[in-house]
Amino acid sequence: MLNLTLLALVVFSLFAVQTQKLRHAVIYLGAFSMSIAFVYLLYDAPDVALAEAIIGSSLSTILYLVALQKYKIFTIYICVNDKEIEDAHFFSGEKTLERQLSKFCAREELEPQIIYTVEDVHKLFEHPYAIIVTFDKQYITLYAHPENYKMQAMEQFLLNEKPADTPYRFIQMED
Amino acid sequence: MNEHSDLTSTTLGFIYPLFIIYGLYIIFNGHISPGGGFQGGAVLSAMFISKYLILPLLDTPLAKIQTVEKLLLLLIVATPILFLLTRFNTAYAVLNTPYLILMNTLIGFKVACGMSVIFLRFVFYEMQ
Amino acid sequence: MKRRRTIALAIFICFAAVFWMTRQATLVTDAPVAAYYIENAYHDTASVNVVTAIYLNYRYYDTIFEALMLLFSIIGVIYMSVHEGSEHDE
Repeated sequence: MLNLTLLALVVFSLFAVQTQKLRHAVIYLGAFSMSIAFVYLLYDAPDVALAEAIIGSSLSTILYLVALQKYKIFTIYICVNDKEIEDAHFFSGEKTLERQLSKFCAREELEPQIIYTVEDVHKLFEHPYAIIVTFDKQYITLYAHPENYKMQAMEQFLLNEKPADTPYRFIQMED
Repeated sequence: MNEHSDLTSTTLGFIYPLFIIYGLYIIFNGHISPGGGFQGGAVLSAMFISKYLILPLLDTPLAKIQTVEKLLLLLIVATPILFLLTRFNTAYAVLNTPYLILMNTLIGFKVACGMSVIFLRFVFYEMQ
Repeated sequence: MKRRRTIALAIFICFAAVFWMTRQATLVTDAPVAAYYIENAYHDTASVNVVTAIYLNYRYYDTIFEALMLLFSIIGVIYMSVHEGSEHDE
């Protein structure tokens, strides 16, 4: 039992370090605290186990989650040309672009929120957004919000990554 | 987390009394079973903190809690000095158990106040 | 300024009194301390839980300064977190 829990400790800590998303890392840390509290219990230290279980898995988890919420959320709309959203979209070229964008967000420590939509671009400008992506035959167009100051870095990043079949076009909107 | 969720609020409504009972049990039974002031206080402050999950409003008087906490610190410093250093514990051995319960209670409430103040301060006063 | 000086004087007097009273106490120096605690904890402090006996009776300075440390961390948090509406409830 003790050896199993010690193994779980190693596994949870590796997960917490290796995962891409900070939210997942926080949850893994909570699980790590629970298992280390169990280890303390097996080592005959119930006082320490109580303190570790309460502080590690409830107080600090909630504190980290609140801290993550104070992050700037980076909203990305991806316009789909068809009338309805189908599952097939999630395996096509949009998927590679989405993966690259989330990689960029992880590097810049932003919290990405990616929304697929069928609405018209001009209607989307009224929503709060950071980036709107549209697809047509010649270009993949990325519209950036006037206050979006990450656009330069994102342009660099996307051009350095493996280029897509269609070239990119970057447009910074004005007020 | 900011959206109101019926599921969380109903569940926490059931769990609240259990939180309080468990925290007080840990505090008052600190001298016979594992636990003590610090752990019980942490359970009580976890109750305050989970209240933030259902109702993110600042309706707690932070300044008053801080004053209470400083008073509790004064009592925590004063009680063992007056009881142990003046050799009361050997003269009146009956008072030992009340002393332990009193100290555990003081420490528990101080920890509960302190952790809630740290958390609420962090949540409501630290804007982007 | 006068208030601060009074508080400092009071704290110094408390410190001197505690120091003097600690010097008066007899020290238990029998060899393995752990065995002494386990044997005599219940008789000395009326506590079944030896951990509580240690942190509230034998080693109570630790507890006092731990409580003080929590207060200091709260003071630190209050100074660090600045907010527009925070002037009126300081």
